[in-house]
Amino acid sequence: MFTIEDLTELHPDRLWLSFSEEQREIAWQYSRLFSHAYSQWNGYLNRLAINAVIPGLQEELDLNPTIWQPNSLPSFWENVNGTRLLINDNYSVVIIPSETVDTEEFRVPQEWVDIPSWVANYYLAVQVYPEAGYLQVWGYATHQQLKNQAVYDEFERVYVLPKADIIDDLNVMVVAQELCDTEIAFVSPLPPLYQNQAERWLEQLSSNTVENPRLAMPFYQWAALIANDKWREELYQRRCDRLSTQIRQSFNYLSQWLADLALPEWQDFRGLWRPRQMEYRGKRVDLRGETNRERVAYWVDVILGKNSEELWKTSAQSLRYTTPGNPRVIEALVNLLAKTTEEETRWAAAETLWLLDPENPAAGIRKVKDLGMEITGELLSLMVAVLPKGANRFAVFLRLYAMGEREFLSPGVQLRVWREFLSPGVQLRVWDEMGTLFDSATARERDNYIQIKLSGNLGEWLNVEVKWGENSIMEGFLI
Amino acid sequence: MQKRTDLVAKFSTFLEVDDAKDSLDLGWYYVPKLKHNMRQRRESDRTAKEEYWAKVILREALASAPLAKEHLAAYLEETAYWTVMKMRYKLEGYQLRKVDFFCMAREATSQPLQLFGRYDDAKSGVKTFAEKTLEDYLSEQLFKGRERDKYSPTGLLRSLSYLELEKTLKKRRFSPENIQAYRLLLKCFKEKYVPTKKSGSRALQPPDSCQLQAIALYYNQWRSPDFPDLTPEQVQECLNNFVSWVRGDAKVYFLSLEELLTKGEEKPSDSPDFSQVSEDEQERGQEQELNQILSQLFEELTPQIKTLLELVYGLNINQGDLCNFMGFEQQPKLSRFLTKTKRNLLTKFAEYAKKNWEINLSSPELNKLVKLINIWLEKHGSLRFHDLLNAKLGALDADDFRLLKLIYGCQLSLADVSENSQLSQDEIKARIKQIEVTLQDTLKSEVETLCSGGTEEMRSLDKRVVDFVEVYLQQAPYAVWESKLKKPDL
Repeated sequence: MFTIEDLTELHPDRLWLSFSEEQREIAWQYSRLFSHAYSQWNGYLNRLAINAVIPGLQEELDLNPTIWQPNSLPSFWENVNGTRLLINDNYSVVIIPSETVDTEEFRVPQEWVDIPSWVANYYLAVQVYPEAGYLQVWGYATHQQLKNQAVYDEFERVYVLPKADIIDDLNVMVVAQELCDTEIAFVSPLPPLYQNQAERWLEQLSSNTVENPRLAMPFYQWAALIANDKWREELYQRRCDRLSTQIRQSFNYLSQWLADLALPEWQDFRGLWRPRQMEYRGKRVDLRGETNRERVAYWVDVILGKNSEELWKTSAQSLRYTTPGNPRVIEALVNLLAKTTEEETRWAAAETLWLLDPENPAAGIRKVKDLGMEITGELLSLMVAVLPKGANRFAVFLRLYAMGEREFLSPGVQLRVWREFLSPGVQLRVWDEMGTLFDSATARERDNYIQIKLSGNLGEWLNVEVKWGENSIMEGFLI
Repeated sequence: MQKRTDLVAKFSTFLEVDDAKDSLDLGWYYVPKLKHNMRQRRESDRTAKEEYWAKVILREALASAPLAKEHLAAYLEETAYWTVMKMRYKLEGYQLRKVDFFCMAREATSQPLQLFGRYDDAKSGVKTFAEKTLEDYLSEQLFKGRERDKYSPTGLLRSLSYLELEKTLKKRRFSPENIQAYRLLLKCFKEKYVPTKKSGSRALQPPDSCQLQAIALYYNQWRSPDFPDLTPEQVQECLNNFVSWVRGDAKVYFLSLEELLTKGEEKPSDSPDFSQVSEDEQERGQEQELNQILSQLFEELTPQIKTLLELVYGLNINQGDLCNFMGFEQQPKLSRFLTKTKRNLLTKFAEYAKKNWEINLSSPELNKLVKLINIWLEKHGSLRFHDLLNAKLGALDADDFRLLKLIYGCQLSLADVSENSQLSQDEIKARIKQIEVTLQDTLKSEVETLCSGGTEEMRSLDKRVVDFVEVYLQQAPYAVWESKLKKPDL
């Protein structure tokens, strides 16, 4: 099997980039978010491509590309292959991944060439080999070349440029930015599309029977529809709406948990109550709360009157085992959840509220899944709690417990969270969209649980991995 | 390999190869039809030079005139040979024999459209253009063939481009209408197939019955009225055929020269009026200016970087072997450094070109410049080593020099040389071997000097030096001399 180093030696004129098994797995899970086979595969390839190409461009060519409209990627990939990246204020590049193994021609969807706001200076040809675990950037073309030299395939609505016209040395692209003009040809403005027209098309294209909407209507009307950010998002939502049940049935859609739409294997946490005395990080923690009425009143006053996150947190923890249903305490905790900006304080308040008023909507939702015997005899459960924070942001709390007769986790058990990637190995790591490690937690001696807290926006993707030794389990979550 | 000097020979002879011995150096042989035809052409215009005929024949070959393709293939035999010799260090990685690789090259030179699709006869000589496109083509074929071997049947279908399918179908002489229908079927497969994977497995699973049904329905919805509906079973059969045809085409194909030959004579066509200024002279002028500019830019580099470029481009030393020399821990970092070095060269060269040649810089123009830099680096990179070996050769004993001339230059057999000298075949072999080792040691010693002794980690050095010396001996100045001993009239 060739390594990336072998391929670079044998074919030094190409840019070879690898992706790991975990990256592939995560991209695969991500691809389930789309409505049809074509768009699922499209999402898969594009996710693999940008997660490798962006760091590749940084390391190999000293470029700093950023994703154009990163929060809207699903709405693009639902319908069109390709991702636009911004290099700087004046230059942009569109990555066009393909799975075809030969590089005889470069096929670029018309949308990227003829929609004025989508146009880029350069178009990168990327061959993705999902089964092999690598991709190659084998060249690029300019917008001028696509408009002036490429052959237009009206059947697929792509511009096709033969290999002989592709510029195979990416150094040329970097130098061209410095020494050449923008290399963008003239593009006619799109004809207007009125609201009522758009609404009719959205209705029509949302239908189950429309497999590939980009070929289902005249191009320039289609272009006007998807060039509009709102309509494009609307189309994506509607096309996936019919799958929302399916998504709910196959995805851990965290924000939907608040509407009691979790997958069946996730149970209500109250069914798995833990003893009062817990061990965390080897320290015995006395979980007996404050029951003295005066002390309770004091802690409530601290929450309502003081302005210190640390004091709020201590107060919330101290109120944990007061009498369930105490309205003043509950009110104080709800108030605290609304005003705190610290994750530790938030979760301290939430944990107390879970005990005192589990049905309170402000307490968010807690679910637990028995991970069973998957990890060599270790009985483990993963608890996930979700709290809304407003403005489409959510707080997520992950905790891994030892189950059954085992009181403690085995030392070395790890919980990892990847935002886009899962890292092999039991560590709780949260990675950002490009696969950067965010956080991790490893069980030590006499830990009942390990945990990670994080926040995210609606639509963000997380992957949680639990690993012990050579075994691991992955769970994907969409916020 | 003996270089051909006669015009007729250049367009009508092919290299004799020995498959069993994996040898390409068994001399040239004429194809009578081509020889006769080329002699007639020469008689029709005795003043026309090699490049003129190359362009005329290329143009005819692109228009599918009979025998033109064969003449062109003959003409490009040396190009194919030297490309294989240059690229053969890649053969180890792909576990390919020299003869097989040469046959791949021969297959490419027999397809003018493949190599000359974007050829502009005003800008480049035929051989010069073919060198680069052939190398790119072979590089692509090597990788593609290997990748294809790894794919599951479904993965191969997903990876199949429409263009490749069309080529495969054209080889099997399907009609354009059938090709369109098959193309539509592939499109339907790509849009309807839902890739499924087993956990832990990279291979895509084949389409299930529901997916086959969906593909059939989609195809039937869009098919031409001239074609019947397909059942899911027929869809499966077609997809299986695609896989076996594509895999079959990917195997190394020993192109028989007899397959190139066509029946019937060909009359020389009316020749287009190429400029009377020889293309060779134009190219020489441009080459001199190019050499001057790039030499200047090269001299501005640090000694260490110059050495690096000479070792990479001149001797083809693996980049990984040069990490220690350059002070990098890993090969990717060295690779990036090389990329950046070339980028700097390109920037300066482009700035010069913009100012002095008054060209409007664009990505395609810069691409041409970077190709010139690549060619120049390959030539200049080996200059030091050629000069060294030239000096060594010049200092050889006269008898040893004569032996090299006869064996490498004149392509005589050991038996022939032994018959006409005082030496037995074993003695001749031993002396040639000794000379080769001397030259190899000279090169290695030079590399050690350049790298201040740090060559222990250059695992590819020995092999590259052996290859370099072998090619050098074949191309050394004596090679054009004709031997006084009996040999084929070329």
